[in-house]
Amino acid sequence: MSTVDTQKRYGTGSRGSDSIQSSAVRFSGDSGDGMQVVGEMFATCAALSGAYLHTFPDYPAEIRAPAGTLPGVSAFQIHFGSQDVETQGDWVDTLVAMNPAALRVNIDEVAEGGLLLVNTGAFTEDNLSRADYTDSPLDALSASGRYHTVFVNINQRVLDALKGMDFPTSDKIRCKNFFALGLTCRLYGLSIDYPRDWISNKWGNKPALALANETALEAGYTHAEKLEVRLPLLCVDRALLPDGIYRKISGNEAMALGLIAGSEKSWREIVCGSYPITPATPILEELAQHKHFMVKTVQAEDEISAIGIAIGASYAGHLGVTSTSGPGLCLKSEGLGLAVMTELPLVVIDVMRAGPSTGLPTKTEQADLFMALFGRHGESPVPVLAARSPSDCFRTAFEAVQVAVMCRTPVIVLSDASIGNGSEQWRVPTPDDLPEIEIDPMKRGESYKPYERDPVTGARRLGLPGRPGFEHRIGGLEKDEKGQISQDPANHEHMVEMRARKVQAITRFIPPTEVAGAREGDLLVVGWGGSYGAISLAVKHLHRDGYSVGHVHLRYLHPLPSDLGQIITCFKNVLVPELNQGQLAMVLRAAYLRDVQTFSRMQGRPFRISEIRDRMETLLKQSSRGG
Amino acid sequence: MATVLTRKDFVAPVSIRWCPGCGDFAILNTLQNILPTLGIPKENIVIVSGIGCSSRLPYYMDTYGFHTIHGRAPAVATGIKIANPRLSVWVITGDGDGLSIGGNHLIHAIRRNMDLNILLFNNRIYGLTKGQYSPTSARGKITKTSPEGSLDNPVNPCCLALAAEATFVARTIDTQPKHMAEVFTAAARHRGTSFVEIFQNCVTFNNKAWEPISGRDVRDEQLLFLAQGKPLVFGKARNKGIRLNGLAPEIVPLGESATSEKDLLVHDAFQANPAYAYLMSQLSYPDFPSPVGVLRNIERPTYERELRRQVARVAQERGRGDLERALRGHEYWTVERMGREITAAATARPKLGYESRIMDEQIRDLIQIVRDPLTAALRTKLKDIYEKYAHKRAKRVEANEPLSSAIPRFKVFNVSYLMVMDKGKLIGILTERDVVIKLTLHAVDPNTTLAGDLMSPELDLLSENHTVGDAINVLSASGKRYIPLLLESGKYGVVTTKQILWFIHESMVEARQLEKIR
Repeated sequence: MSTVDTQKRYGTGSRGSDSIQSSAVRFSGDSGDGMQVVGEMFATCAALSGAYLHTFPDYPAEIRAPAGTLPGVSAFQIHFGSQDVETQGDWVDTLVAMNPAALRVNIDEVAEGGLLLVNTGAFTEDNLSRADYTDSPLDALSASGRYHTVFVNINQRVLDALKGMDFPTSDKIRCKNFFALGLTCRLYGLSIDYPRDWISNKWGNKPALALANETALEAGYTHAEKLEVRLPLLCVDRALLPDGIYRKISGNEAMALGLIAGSEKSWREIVCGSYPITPATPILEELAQHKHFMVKTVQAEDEISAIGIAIGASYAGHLGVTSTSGPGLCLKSEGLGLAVMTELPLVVIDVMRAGPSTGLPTKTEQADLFMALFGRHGESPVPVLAARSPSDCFRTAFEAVQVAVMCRTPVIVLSDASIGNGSEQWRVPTPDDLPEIEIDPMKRGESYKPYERDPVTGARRLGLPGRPGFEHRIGGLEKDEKGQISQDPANHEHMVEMRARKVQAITRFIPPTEVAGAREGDLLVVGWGGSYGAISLAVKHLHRDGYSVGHVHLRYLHPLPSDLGQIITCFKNVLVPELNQGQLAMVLRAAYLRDVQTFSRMQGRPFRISEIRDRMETLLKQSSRGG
Repeated sequence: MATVLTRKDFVAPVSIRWCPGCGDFAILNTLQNILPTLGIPKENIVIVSGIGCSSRLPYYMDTYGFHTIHGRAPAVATGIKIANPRLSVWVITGDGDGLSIGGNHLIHAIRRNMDLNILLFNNRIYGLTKGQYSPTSARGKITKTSPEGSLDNPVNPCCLALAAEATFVARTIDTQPKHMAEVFTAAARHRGTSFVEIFQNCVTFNNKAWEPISGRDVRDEQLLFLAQGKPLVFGKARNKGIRLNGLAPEIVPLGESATSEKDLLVHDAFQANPAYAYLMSQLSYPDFPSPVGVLRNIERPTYERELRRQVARVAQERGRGDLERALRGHEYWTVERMGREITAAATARPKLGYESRIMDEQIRDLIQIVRDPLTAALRTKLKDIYEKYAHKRAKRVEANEPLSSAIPRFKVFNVSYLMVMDKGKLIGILTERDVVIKLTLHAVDPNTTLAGDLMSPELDLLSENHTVGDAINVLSASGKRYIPLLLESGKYGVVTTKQILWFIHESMVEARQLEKIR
């Protein structure tokens, strides 16, 4: 009995002779133009054609800025191709601009020689002035020779295509996003079978609406033939994909699924206390959708209560989880301290955004590392893991559950706005690929000392409320092994050391560190978190060009992998690119007494590959001159 | 049966570190006295506290205890109760912990109606930090941090709890152990957040703060003991009462020539409208006697129970989560021959769990190959079994009915299971086994425990068009003995292991008879 309800084979598109390795397409328009929908759809078309992909939505910070204005521009970027699509793309190769504001906001990101696909129908005097244009910029743009330009009056074409249908004109124009999708697909030689099916499923009960959108989609697709261009205009290479089941997944979705997988494998039901905060809210929303996994979510009154609820649930034997962003992590500091002291399993997820304070709430940054590592009073060691890409959030969350449950410790997982909201294709693992997370429960009648430790992991055992014979008291006050309050100086020092040693012992579980590129040589680039794509590609390109450069990307930021010190000594120079002022660099300097170069960016956007490559080249030149 | 507990079972073998003469001792004693009388197994009692003198209490109780951080006890207690609703969770807090730093958590625990018992020790001072004014200190109170007198208007704890729509609000006094015991017991019996304010004396930093109200020589005039259904009468000679004049309460003399008791306000804590309880919370020194006792006691669904029910309902509607499907999501595609063949697929919702589906395929294959009477019987639709054996038997119980009303039905109807219904939907099966095991092992109170709490939630409903083979899969995969059915009529029914065995037995007998005839 197959679980597949409907299935359909899609063509794999044509292959051109002068094909390109990857391409970044950005759909942009007004918030109400449906850019996110067609962006997602284009991504699926690209995936079904056999490409790797990486997508990133760029929503306006305002919920509904006035139509046609600059703050109201909503965009969705898809980077797809046969390889090197681990980032959203340094530059936009094709910009679809549905109105003047979208053009103005995005034009600076378009690569030289890129394609501009502009809806001239929206270039009215009103719209131009809303976008701060005095005259239409279109003529100047085509005259500049900097871009390929395709100007189409999409509004009019859609009205023509839907002529005779019984809709008001304003509703007809709303189908323009599908026209743009059809046109873009044709230019890239992608099949539109998938959006066609999607439309008929989505509006199955409103056939007139389905017909209108499908007609617009097809009108866009065929309109390409009227343009005086060779079709497909852009031919992107297909990847050699390993066999398997694939899906598109965002970092926040993957994080929620990783927690659920951890819950299933550790036989502990999730209790997630959380408070809505950009950009972490989708994790709570996703978990709330999974009640059939016995997931219990509580939208708490504040961040403090959220972690309190998670701690309480962990104490009672469930898997306590809380998700937040930087400002929320500040408020969770005291809760984390309590979880460290009481040695309870807990997973805290921080989807980082640019700070301090409210900062740039929708933009990315990696500046919470210090807070994750050190942001508590007292000696308060907490394992810190960081996810490197949207799909990697799954594995990172799962490992965080493993560490938390097996070592009875709170664990902080760092993600960021770009990987949380971004998505990529993911080869879906089967549940059998994931290990069981087992711990030894107290057996009835066993004598119980709350702070007696496992000799290997250093973890204490949990006597769960509701089980007779293990009644005990824990809390924020320092205890001795038997769980009695202790002010004894020697005991406190002993317990501080034990807690630190327990976290340090996690290095035993960390797999050997992978070094990409050269294993020894001139320059090692050490990165963490969402900068993986940009760093790995920059290193890959330079290594291919003959430089002895290597790349290490850390998942465990505390404790650091035990082989890292050795790896660092194999290189003359070490560079740490970070979206902060050099936090990991400072940690590495302190840990290994090495001069580590920092490369900082704090512009609310991920690294570009080119800027990392440039910095690496500069360093390599300097050192060869110096050497 | 559970062993009989005594006070001694609740006393932790540690020395108590409160100042001699502290009101906390009396409260601790009372708690240790009443807990054994509640019929709750000791291991199911969890005492959660924040920070402050009062919050040391968990260490003195030989139960599960969690001394958390300042003000956060209600949040931690909420997590505990959500994870394990069977636990009896007590929150110990003080005026600083509960009303100042933790005010927000207190309000929200109450508004959610978590089934917690919150005891707020109100001594109107910060004791552990050695004498600073607290949120309940009177205006003008002179302390180390308010040498010229506090400017803060004090919080009225009961009023705050009522404003958060507390379902149970009470007040008692550390000097009245008997009264305290009654109030604590009522709080424990109440389902939902029970908020209890205790007038507690801090002997070191705010000695005799309550003396004008509860002092031996004034208490008859200054305390108003609330009793359900009784008029509001006070005074040593019980010669004063409280009457409503318009919307304002007033004190009236009672006696031969004065007002009769009939004109007085009559205490009713069960009123749905909170206006009366609010009025009581506003009576205060020096104009009025301070009411003590249960101000409000109403029923409203508790958060953790509703949450569990939502989870059970979703699990029933969607089937218990299947990790493989969840990882694939709604839209996935399969890649074969290194990307040369890509197939998009939209997932359909499963009727059964993953495990039983695998077995299902095996049995289906078997049925195709083998043609003996036994395997043929596996193809029979459950409809036939249901109509033949089961249609009269399935009896219902509502999820919110207490066990005490469910248990007699086993005997009256001579059944071994009941269908547990919630809003007309079947959400689980309550079996004799559930009752026997859970009632004896966990020693729950059949009067307060609901059928919905003890049932086995039903996640996979078969339809009457499923086959006996399907039913056997589910039974063997789940270890259950009952299969709930969603009938085509929209009603529910149940097929049991026993009935399936009967059916197979009869099929074999029939087959043998057919053989003989041939």
